[in-house]
Amino acid sequence: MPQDDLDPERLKAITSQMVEAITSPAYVEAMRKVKAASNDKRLDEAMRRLTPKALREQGVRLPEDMRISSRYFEEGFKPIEVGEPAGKRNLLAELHAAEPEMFNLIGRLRDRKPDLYQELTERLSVEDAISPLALCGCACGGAATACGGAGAG
Amino acid sequence: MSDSAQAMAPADAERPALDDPHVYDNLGFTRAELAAAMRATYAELIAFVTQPAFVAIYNDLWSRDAADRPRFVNEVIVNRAELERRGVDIPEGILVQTSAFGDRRPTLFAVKKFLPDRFHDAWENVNLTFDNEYDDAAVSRDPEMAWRRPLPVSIQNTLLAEAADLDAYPDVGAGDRDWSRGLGDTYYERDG
Repeated sequence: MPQDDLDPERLKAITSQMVEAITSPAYVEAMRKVKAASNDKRLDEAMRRLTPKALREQGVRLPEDMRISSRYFEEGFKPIEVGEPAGKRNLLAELHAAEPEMFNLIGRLRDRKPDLYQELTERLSVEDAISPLALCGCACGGAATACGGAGAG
Repeated sequence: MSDSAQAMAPADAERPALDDPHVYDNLGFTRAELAAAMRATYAELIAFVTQPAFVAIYNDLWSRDAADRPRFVNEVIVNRAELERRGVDIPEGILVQTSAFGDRRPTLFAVKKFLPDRFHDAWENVNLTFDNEYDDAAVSRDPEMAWRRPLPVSIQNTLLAEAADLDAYPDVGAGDRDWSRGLGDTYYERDG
């Protein structure tokens, strides 16, 4: 077990840093602008506004090691098949269930047939992956394994 | 000055006080109110993960090989009946979930609670997230990597169990610029 992962004082310190950072008016405003963007622009807005560099330039006081990333949560306490909640098939999950070797196949395809690999990945649509995402800021200390985070959908 | 202090210094002069009543005029609550709600909710999460029964389970998790931990998480940590059988008290509103990030850090599980609805125009939830061990330098901080669509958890966990490189898996939907249309949707039940 990584030392001090569950030390209450350490967790309190990490989460206090998080609260100070993510309640910053500039952070909240950047996130609201991303959420307000049209669907086809939202990713670009997130990459532009919700990065540690961009937020620091707006005056947000971020923990040094903070990561900000898209995120997905599965439903708690009840394992589900990813993709089902939206009523759509998850092609990748089904492929993997049918043929676990697909990971190696994809790796070989990328190395040997890069054009085919590129076309395959581009043809996978949103239904093949995950629709619910959350905007997330997560303060994680180096290679530590426990961190405080927050999400907004 | 330490590196950490240098990272924070430029913002100090501009940083509004947490009790500034004006900074959220257009949201119907103040920064201080949001911060208080977050601190209170984080305190609940910290109390949950530091109760002796949960600490024992966490120790059990870390006594296992890294590749075996996703299976243990699935069988024990996100299994309410098993947690309760092992003596864990699960207060109302606490969610224990598997999770995946766009930057593909090797996440094992998260303990989460929603904030009151009135704050959702800013933030919806706070959480504590627990990852498998990883080299910080190996998980990219590049925005284009961090804002990828996360892998399905089932695939992420299979890759972890195989000690595979998560970044070696292709970016799904790379040609679909509309992948983020799910933002704004949450499908899980808030009462867990």
